[in-house]
Amino acid sequence: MNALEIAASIRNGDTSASEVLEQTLRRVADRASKLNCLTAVTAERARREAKDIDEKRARGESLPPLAGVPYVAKNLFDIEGIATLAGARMNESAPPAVADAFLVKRMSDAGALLVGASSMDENAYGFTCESTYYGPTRNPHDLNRVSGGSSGGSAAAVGGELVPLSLGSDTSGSIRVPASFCGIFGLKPTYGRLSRGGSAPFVDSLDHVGPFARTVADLAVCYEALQGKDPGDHACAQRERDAVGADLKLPEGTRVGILAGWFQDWAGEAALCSLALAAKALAADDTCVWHGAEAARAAAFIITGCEGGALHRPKLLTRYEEFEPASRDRLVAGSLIPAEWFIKAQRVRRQAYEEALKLFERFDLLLAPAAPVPAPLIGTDNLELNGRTVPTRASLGVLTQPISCIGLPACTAPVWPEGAEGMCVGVQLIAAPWREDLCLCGAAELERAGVAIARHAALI
Amino acid sequence: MPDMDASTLESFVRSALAAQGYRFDEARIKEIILQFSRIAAAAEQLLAVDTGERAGAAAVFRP
Repeated sequence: MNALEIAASIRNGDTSASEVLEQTLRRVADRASKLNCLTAVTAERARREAKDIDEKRARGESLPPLAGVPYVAKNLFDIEGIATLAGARMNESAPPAVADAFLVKRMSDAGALLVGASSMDENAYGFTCESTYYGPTRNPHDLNRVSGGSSGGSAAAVGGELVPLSLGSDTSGSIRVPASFCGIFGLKPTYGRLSRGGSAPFVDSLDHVGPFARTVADLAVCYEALQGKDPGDHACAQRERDAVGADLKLPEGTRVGILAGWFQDWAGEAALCSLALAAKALAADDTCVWHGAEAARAAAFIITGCEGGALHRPKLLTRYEEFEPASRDRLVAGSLIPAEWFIKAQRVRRQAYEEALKLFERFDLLLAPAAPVPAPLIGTDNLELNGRTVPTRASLGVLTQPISCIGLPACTAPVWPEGAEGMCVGVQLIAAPWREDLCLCGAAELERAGVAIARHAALI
Repeated sequence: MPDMDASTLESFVRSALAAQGYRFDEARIKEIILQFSRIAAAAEQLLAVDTGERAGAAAVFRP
């Protein structure tokens, strides 16, 4: 059952939150180890939360929108009582979090049941979720392939049908890439829309947080529940909640454009096929080029290296050997970046943003592939992409990085093209700042057309 | 590589590592030089973009 079906069946008395939870915990016990997607199971907490929901219903109180819906949170979100790993072995000895992260609190307020913390690339620096210390998180549609990252555990848990909802973070594509690989929906909202309070930072000026789901309706309700002002996050916008709209329909006359140039030059054949399927379903046949995309990606690369390197430099000096071998040297190199490059990257970012805004004078919604290829096999060091050999870890976010660099909202919708060996390559639906509603409504149109769907995963 | 050839880049990385207090063996330093050269390639793209002399540094980005 999806999240809204679960909440409705509990509200109607067809089942109880406790029954739903016990079924979920059995599924988790059966599937989580196959996927290597959870680093903690919070069964006792979830049982308390389920009991509260059932008692509320017994008292005749109205139930919140996600009452009794199980979910997991990427292990960079603080969960009271357990250490926040952020994918890092060295954090195992950290003291337990004393309070829940802001979004975890928002989920509790919405009645959701937290059943665990999910795996991720160390410090959110990676697109494959292959940890040297914890092992790879596996793709529910082919266990030999990566889940994508860095929010790989959250995507695999939803794609593998352990839970209908999860939380992730996205600095350069870490929600959109794993959603694409695991065949589900994922929303990266506008920068500053959702609070990062109580989550481990990576690149403060690029870090976003958001939800995963198997249907757009679930994603929209979860996104609405997560909104709220938080003085604990300096970037969190002081905005009232924006509703998405119950019917999830694009307004009449919505202009949908196809991003060409960079977004097609770096897309493989299957990704282009997904894009064509989505464009046809949305009756989009006009293309546009954002000339600043390549520079925005380069700016994101520099800003990530600089901010990420500066954040971790104290520990790199004293505990280097404990860092993930796949990313520690990139962090050290980032900590050496000259100020001139960082300042230039910020200027380019501003310019690229202003160029991108002009596209929204012509279009309301833009389409682009979410990843250049379907999920690679675990251990793939290099990819062949349109005649170029490129490093896998650095290249999987090539189509998402420019978008997060300038903070635009984007929703990944799962599309299943020919020639992808049965795997998904998602598309991004991108809108102007604060127009997540258009991203979600566009994804819903694709879902209604049967083009974007979260398929059942066999876990083989 | 902006303003630097390969040997200048290597010297920069070695000096910056030492100045910041990092102590690595030679194999590790070579890997960090490789990683830094990728960053430098991105910087070269950026420095080629004309942003104008009066463009703000956008210290904290807001959409």
